[in-house]
Amino acid sequence: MSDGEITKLLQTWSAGDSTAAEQLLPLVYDELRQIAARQLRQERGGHTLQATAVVNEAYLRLQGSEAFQWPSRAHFFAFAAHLIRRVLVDYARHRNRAKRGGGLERVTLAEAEDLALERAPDMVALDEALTQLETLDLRKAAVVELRFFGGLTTDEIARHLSVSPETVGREWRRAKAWLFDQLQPVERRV
Amino acid sequence: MDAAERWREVDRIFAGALERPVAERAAFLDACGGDPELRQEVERLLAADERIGTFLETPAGEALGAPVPWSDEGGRVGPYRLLRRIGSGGMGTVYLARRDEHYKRLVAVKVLRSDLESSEARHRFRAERQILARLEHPNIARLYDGGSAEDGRPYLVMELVEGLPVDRYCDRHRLTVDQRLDLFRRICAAVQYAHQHLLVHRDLKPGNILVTPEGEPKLLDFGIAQQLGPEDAGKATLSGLRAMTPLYASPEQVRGEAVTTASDVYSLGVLLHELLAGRSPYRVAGRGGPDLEAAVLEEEPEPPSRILFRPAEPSPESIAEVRCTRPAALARRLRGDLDQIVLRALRKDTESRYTSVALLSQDLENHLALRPVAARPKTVLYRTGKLVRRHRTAVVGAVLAALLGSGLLTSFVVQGRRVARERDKARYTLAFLTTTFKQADPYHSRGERLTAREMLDEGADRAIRELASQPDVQAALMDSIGEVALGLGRYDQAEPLLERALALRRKVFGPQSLEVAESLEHLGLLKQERSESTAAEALLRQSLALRRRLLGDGDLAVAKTLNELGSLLVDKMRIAEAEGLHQEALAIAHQVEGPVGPTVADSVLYLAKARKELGDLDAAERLFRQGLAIERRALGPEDPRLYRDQTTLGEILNDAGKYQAAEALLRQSLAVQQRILGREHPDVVTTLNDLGVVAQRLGRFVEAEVIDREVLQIARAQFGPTHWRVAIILGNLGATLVGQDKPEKIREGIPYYEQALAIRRQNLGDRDPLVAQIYLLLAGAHRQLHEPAQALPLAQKALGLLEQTEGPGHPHVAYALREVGTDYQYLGRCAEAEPYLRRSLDIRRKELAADNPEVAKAKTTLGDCLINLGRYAEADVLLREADAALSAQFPADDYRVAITRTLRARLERVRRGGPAVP
Repeated sequence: MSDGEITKLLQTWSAGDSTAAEQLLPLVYDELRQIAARQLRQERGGHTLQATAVVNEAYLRLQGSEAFQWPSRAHFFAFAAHLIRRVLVDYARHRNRAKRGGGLERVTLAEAEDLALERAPDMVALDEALTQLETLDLRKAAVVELRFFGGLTTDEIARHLSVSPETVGREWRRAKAWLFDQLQPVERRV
Repeated sequence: MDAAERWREVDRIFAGALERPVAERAAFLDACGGDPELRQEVERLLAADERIGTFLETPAGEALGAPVPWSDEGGRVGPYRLLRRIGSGGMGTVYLARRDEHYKRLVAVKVLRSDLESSEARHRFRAERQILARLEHPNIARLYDGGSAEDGRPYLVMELVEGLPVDRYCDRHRLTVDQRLDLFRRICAAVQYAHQHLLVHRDLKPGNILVTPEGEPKLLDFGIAQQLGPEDAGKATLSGLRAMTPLYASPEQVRGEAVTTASDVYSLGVLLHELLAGRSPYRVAGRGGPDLEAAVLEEEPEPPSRILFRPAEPSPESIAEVRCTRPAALARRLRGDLDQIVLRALRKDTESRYTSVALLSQDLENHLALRPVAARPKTVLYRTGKLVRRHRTAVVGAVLAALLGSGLLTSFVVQGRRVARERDKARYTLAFLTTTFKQADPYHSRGERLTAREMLDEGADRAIRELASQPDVQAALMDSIGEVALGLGRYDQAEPLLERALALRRKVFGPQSLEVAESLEHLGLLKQERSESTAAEALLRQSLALRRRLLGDGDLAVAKTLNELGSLLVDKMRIAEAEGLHQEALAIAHQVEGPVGPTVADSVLYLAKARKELGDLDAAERLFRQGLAIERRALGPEDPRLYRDQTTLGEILNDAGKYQAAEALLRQSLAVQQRILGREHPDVVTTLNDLGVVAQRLGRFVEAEVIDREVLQIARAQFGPTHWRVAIILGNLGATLVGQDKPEKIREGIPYYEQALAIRRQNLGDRDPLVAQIYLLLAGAHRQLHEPAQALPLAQKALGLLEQTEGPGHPHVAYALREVGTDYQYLGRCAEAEPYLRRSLDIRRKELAADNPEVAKAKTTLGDCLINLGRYAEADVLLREADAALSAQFPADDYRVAITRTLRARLERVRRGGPAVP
């Protein structure tokens, strides 16, 4: 793939065509995974993966590469948020497999209702729900991706989507409610 | 209708419903009509919105890190059987447990995270547990026991507390504002008790403060966060591990910086805000995550009385109702004192918060007892300003000798930025130690104030006595106390403590550690204060090398050390080298902080100081203004550091002869400083002192005397009568008295000089450049009393010292040269005077702009000498130039202009063959 093609794909993706990202992904995925893996090693106890740290490092690494002519920093962050989502969901899948293999019980929302509010959501299920939201309401899905996966602030998201921060706040609230509802176990969704 | 269209319809109604109060939503949905399925979907979304909690608020990367909680129910750790899981938090899981079968008592067992495996963590864990076990307070849940489970996970056994989180307790029992304050003050007392035992909670929030059915507050988890060490605790608060919002975390915690008692003050401030107003101080509190962190760091919290009416759930009515009042009455109750107290506890900058929980609690008591509270800005009676205005009549001393009164004094008070910062740190540490030891010691429990010396002695003794088994903690405390002593100017006391801390740290952490780097730095700063600059440079360079090796070349700590080393080199007049270091520091700061940040500002201001010492006053002024602008943006307009630096700019303007501009700037600084720091703060002393110097330079001696005496009084009380800074002020007062040029005033002034000289020589020895300057002042005083024979040896002594310490081209040397020359002239030995006066003028010309008053003064003096030597043509040129320069800047009745004109008149007379004196 030539440099020109990559730039064109980026523009297509920015214009809303998510299939473009699928073609771009392999180009930077390994890079991101390596960064994430190193971040994980550095974290004491190996527990947390700082999404913003990964994105920042990725940006520094990739902005220098001639293959990628980012139209703007915001574009990069939007793209990175999408990639982070992929990395994290894969990581969760991998971890869940490892846990089941290790004989540990997987705790879901339904099993510990009280703890649901403070526990990380099931990343795989969230990813599926978010993919569904994308088909219904692209802007809400973008807000969630930028904020939850990309770690961007409301103001940054507002700038990127060219809407007011208040709009972002309202979209975020409604998107969250929809996702929260989707992630309830089926028998409780009556 | 396809799925997306249908969703748009659902979303539209959902959005409409969200904008309405909960009670009106059903009616709104009725009004919207639509099919039942659609309505059901909206209702599900509304239900989700209500129950949503912090769902998705922690960014994914962090949330993903949350470990899956294991369940040990039914299992055991050590001798404890775990009966039931009763909760889980960031640090681990808590179980209801019982010790074997022999004991009836139920306890809470907290099994900590399994990643505390490193030996350092375990070491810290043991040390902390010892302190925790000493906490015996009715309002702190007791720590009974602790140990390691078979699989190595540490656990703690604690008193089982049954109760409600404090916020829910208050609402459920409908406590009034006064009752809430009462309960809150009992919580403060418990936190204060822990602080006296050197324990910081770090995670104060309603969930950690339960109230029993009997109404007793109980603090949980005291110091447990601390066991994780500063790095982990900061992160734990942010990470999904705890999956909490940083709602109660102080700005320094959010930044991952060191946590002190001030952080607990902040968390208590958030709690108080919520107990009073029913809402968080930040608008974005409900969102959590990055927005809340940004708000904690940057947003000014809203006063409780105002936030009450924010359109949000719960409504103002329901908030007021659970406080047994109405919204308007509640707002009135909060406005004023309580608003100010809460906001003071919530200051971003630790220095401007209450310095202890006790003071926060005290202020609440003041409020309840209708006494004035400390948090409210005082209306400062601008006494000095008034005095100054009353004495604005200029004093004109039209005698040559008056010219010599006070040439050097500003440099007396230009304190390094670094020194001022250290002093602040020292004051803060001292405040902490004072509160720590005051009530712990039965001799002082009745509220007598410990003197600083007692405090330091006792602190050092305690550190040695009680911490022998924990050399790392012991070293840290010795280092802190050493720093305090350094900040207070008690060098003899500081040195052995800092040396011992260094030796201990070398043993405990190894010679290549950051702790050793810190100790080396502190010792270096001590040596610098003592004018042992060679030793100081060696120590700072070692510290710098260690930090570079351990932290890399791009770390802010490296930048800070570079600036300190640069500042030392500036003192040694190795300016070019110093500028290189400050430039490197600036580059690092830019890299880390971006264009605006405190270290960026610091580095620019250090560069400005270097320029100033070089005599490049224009560049110094430009850089200083640039540094101040950055600092203002980095720290905000109310930060006292800003005005301290603005004062230094005033001094630069003063040195550049821009007295009016200097005075305006200093007055502005003074007004703000007195407002935000009170009247007796050392910064106020410095600014007032500089104003005194300006008044003196402008010839307003009476006004200067009023200011100097006031400054002396404050400084003696602040620093103690033999502090070297007091010597500076004694010198200034002496100069002001002598400058009035009345024999009785001069004789009154001389003893002040002599006291100043004695203090400086005793503290710092003859190497101290100011010793030479005081010799010069004494010489000047004798000259004014027409005692040139006494003046000459003093001036020559000064000249010798200055040439040694400052180098031959220094402005101070120029000054001394003129003094010696003048004395020879007075003794009638004009031929011997001329070379001194000429060298003096040469230095001035090289260092200063052509129209600088100092150049004019040097010309006037040399002109006088040349008249006496009969070289009228040369004298005429010099006096004309001086007259032109001075008249352009000063009114005709200015004493300098008057002297020059008098000399020109005399020259005309003698040229016409008349007598030298009319």
